Amino acid sequence: MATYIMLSNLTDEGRKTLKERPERLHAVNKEVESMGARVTAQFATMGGYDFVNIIEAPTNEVMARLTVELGSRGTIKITTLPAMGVDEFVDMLSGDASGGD
Amino acid sequence: MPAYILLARHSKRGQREIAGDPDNLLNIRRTLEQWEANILADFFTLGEWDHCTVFEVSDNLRAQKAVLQQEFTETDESLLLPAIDLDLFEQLIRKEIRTEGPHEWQIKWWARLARLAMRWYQYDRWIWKYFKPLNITGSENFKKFRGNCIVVANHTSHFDTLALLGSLPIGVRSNIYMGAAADRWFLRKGGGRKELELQPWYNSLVGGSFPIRRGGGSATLDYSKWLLEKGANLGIFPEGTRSTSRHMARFKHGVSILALEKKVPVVPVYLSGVSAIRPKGSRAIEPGPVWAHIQEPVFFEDGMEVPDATRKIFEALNTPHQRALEQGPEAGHWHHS
Repeated sequence: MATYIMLSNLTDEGRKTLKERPERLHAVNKEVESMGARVTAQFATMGGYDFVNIIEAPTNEVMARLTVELGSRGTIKITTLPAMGVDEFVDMLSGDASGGD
Repeated sequence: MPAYILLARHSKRGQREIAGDPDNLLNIRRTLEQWEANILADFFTLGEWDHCTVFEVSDNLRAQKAVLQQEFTETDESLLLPAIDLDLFEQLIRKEIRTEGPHEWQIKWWARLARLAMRWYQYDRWIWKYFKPLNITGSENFKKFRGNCIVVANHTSHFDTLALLGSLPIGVRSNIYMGAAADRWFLRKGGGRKELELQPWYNSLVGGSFPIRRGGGSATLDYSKWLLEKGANLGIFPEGTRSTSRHMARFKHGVSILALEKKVPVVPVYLSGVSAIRPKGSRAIEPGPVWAHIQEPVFFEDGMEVPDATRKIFEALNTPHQRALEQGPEAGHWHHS
């Protein structure tokens, strides 16, 4: 499974929905799972983004479908960043470096 | 411990350093750990940001210091987002403050009678106990107009309402309704702030108060307008909240909007000495002298703009305030020479 950081901002419509139905926050997680992905961590944040989600998905296609599905409702604007654990990435870069010598 | 999310973009120098030694990718984590942060997750990302770190640290200051230190070394830009666990966030949304009121029945004859009967219990006994003495000047200013009015005063203490009501002639006092913050005085039971679970109906009936929703826009004035149409007087602290500074806070426009629309005069009452008895944030009460200087009524010309009217009201209270600051509380008298 690949990891993705999903940064999202609520639209005005989204804020209204959230205030009226706070339970939607968790309902979205179930929808994410039904599409084959999994939310591993989720935070409400203050500042440039309203939510930061760490999501695992099997492929880029699944993740793309997920962002289109969630974004199409007009309640959130999404920025998705493919991510990898820093430790693994450092190991990978170090391995490449040694391989090139 | 509070959680934070740090999004960072590497500078050219940072990228060169990482390319030279991938171990430098761990610098953000190392810097945060120097500030005793607990790293929950750490990712290298593709796209708008290069790095995303989720961490916990004891306070905002440490988080910010850690980020600043990192910014000076290898990141071009970083964004620190204080984060709340989603379950907690949902709970917070659900704990919305719910208020009750206004209660239109508060102007009926039986409600006014109940208020009169409870006056000693609700107000006068505290005035008698803590205001040593309550010095009132300028009562004659209420004879300079006919009909109802809006009484305004500067606000530094919860006891200001006592001082204000205690200073008014009986004819005004028996038909005045005081604006009060809805989120403090009109919380419905279970409304989210247990320590303030008062009975809104009690405040409407005995206190003669009505709720004002902070930031509620023009709709929050509807009930005030209705009261004025019914011939009631209004009591409002136009600063909106209790001031802790020596200077009066900027006035909200609500009083001007009401006075201009309903064509009623505004009577400023300058209160002094009240904050020494019970300052904002204190539960301790120290008896002392209080001054209530009733100023001349403020009338407004037709066509006057709201900001100008607000300025006029502000000046009517700020002038005695400045005099009192320079010469002492007695100098707040309306025809001071």
